[in-house]
Amino acid sequence: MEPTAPDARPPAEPPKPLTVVGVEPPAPGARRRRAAQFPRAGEKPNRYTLPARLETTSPVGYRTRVALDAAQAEEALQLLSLERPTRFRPPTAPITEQMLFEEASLGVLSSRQSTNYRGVRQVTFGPEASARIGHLLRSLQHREAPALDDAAYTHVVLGRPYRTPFTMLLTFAGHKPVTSLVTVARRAWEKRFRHADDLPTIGALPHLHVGILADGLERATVLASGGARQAQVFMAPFCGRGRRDDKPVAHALEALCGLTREERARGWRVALVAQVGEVPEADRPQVSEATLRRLGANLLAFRSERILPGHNAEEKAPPQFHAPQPMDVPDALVVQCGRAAYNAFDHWTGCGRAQAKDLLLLDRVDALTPDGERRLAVMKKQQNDITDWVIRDLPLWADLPTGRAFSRNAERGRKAFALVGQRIYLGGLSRTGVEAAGLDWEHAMRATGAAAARSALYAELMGAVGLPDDCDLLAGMCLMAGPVNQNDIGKQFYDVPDLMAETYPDKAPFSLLVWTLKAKTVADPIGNEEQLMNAARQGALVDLRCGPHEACRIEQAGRLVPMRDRDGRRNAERAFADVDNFVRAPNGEEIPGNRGSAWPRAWANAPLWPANAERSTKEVRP
Amino acid sequence: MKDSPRIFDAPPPLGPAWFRALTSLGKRGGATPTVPRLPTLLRPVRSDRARLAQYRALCGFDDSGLLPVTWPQVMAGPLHFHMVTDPSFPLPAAGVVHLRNLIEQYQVLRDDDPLGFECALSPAVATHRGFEIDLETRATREDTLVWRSVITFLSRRRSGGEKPTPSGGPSATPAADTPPPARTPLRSTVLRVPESMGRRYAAIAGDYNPIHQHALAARAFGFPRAIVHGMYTLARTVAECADDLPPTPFALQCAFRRPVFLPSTVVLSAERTTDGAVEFSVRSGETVCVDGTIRAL
Repeated sequence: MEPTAPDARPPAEPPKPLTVVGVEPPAPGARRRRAAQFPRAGEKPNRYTLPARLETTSPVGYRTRVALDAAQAEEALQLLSLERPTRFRPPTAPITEQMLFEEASLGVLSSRQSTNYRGVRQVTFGPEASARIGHLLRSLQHREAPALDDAAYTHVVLGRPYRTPFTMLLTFAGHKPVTSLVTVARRAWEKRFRHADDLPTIGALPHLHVGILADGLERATVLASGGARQAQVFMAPFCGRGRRDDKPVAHALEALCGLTREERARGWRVALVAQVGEVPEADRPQVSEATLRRLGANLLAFRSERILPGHNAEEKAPPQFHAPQPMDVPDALVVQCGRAAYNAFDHWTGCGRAQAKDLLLLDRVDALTPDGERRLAVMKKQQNDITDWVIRDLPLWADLPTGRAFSRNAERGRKAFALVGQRIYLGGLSRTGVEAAGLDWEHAMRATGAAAARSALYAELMGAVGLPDDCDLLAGMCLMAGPVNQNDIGKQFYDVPDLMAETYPDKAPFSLLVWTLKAKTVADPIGNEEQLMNAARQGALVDLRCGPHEACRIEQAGRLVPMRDRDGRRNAERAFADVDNFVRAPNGEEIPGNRGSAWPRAWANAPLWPANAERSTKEVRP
Repeated sequence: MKDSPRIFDAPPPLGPAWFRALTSLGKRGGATPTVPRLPTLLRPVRSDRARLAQYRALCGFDDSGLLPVTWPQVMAGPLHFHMVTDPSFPLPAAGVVHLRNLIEQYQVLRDDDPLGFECALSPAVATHRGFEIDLETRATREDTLVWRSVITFLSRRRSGGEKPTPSGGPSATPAADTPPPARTPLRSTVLRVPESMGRRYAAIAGDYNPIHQHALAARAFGFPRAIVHGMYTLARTVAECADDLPPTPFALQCAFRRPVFLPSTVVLSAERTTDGAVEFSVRSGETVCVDGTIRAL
């Protein structure tokens, strides 16, 4: 696909509408809740007991889902089918710090799923700098949409390669016994200095995350502004061919963001740019303020938890986790999940919905059918075999001196990469299809991330529709790349076919993500959430939800200032706290620190770019 | 006994008072010390802007142009110290512990407002822990009472005293048979109080009581570690609850139940009761260190 002038493109095909498909709750007697309690005196805390306290700068906190009625769910679906803005109007109200905080809370601070990668950060520029950035954007060759005038502010999101303890382990995977002394060193060097990845799917992860963020950012803008603002997001110029052809503009943006040489050496690059502006009333989604607040709080609840893919009832788990839950994910809901994914892929690539279905490969594995059961068994065996082979081939010179730490970690992968769940979607791309369509591969991967996130969000939202008081949720989902990475080890080193090879033999499938859906009423153990919130629990092994000062900077008077780090104070506010969806013990007792504390109102309500605010006010005055 | 007021045109210097404090360490006060009223006046003064800015930054107050409700007490601090180190004051000034505090603010106070102060002590009340003494401070603006506080402090004694008696002081707890009012949670946040906080607060407030300065100094007064100033904890709490304060006039009362040792991580929680009051507590683990109420007058 050659770069085309975005303004000359045909109007985009409208997304296929999504409909509300609720999940029937079980009979009242069969409903269960997590009902986590504080440990009794003398009782040792565990993953089923409420954490003693929460000390975090993250806006997320331990949150519970908020019930949506059918009308609210209908309203919410508009946010899963947002179209690109076509125009901005000069802002009629100044942008306050609080607005930006709430937006970031739903965007860059929480858009990711439960992954151990904190690889994006955001710099937000005010109106004046936005005008300059607008000029830069207009000069991009691979811009996928027109750059708009009158942006109230512009986010430049920087991203870096995926590097975690898991990728360190991967350095040792797939080597021959003797030559490993050389090949391990070479791969480590290339990874460190040339940003080479051990596996193609590891290289895909940053792109998937950027796509997830892009989709989340679009919604976050609407939610945080009560529908008044929308985002025009540009991803294509900052990946693949776009990155190569539009390098000078990318460099200019990186310079604006103050990217240092050291950061560039570590692989930080501009990943996306989002112009945010006020849209005319006619272009706004028709969603009430109350629904927007409930949605915002729900999005944080979805991101506060780590839904595990399978049944996870250990012996020591409280009885509610052992009770059978006679529930099923409705087939219609799974269909809508797929529709949401295709809509999103089309939205982010502009390839058209029909072609989206050719390029984005979705493979349903329904564990409740005999064929699905058979496929799942085959895949599970394959994943286990790969783990065996990885452990067998780990260089002993590295494994033995570390007390077999590498093989123990690889062994843990069996559980982490397990494929379980009632309905499983494998998602990926058709290599041949993407090539034939002329679509940039990295851009397509980003769109796949966005598609998966939107599909998953649909399922999460439906799990809150008609949610009875005595249930934590009705349906949940787990979005993960682990099984795909494990399969990719097999593909790269042991001639294992792709997970979707059986379903799409002619399309050269390239699996990228797995999302599993399950219907249940009990939220997973709160210890899983604590892994995300409490640095003392898991340290760097999980993606602790970060605070705004860690991931967001705001340009003010030419300086880049960390968000909510002022006079020795850092953020303790939980976004959308007014909805009051904080986890409590059954007796109503709260987790100390979980509710947080509002940022000083005088600071939060202060306009970020006052000069512009005054000018804008004058402009709109009759 | 001095009943004629001592009048200052400017806050009295702390150096001589510290000398008197050190030389008063041997005071015991006897079985029932007689505490003089020691009425003391400070003619109207304006806030030291630099010190006020430091106070705001340390305690987390907004720079809104309005005086923090706890600030006049800091302004009156030199008077208080002068009074408790007066030769006629029968107890040692160093090592006294802040037990309770009542503050009533009747009018909005601005940074530039000149405030006059009148302070007086009340007779000592013997308790099982020592002697409790109230110190009342009244702040006036253009001869109008705009702010008032009652500090209850404890001068500890080593030997056991009489059994505890219900206090009629400003933070008297409600009767046991009063059902607790329904509450709406407002905030719950974790605050870190670093080891240096006692010294940093002292540098602004001028309260260099050794129990706040260093663990070694605090040990000499029976504390295992240094403790933070109660007024710092209270100011931090009020700053955190700034959005929840009722409009002026309002009353803030609190009890310092347990010391906040340095360093500490404490949890501040605030709830609104059905009658509109804000109840707050600062806990270290399971221990309630400070609790109190902010209520419209």
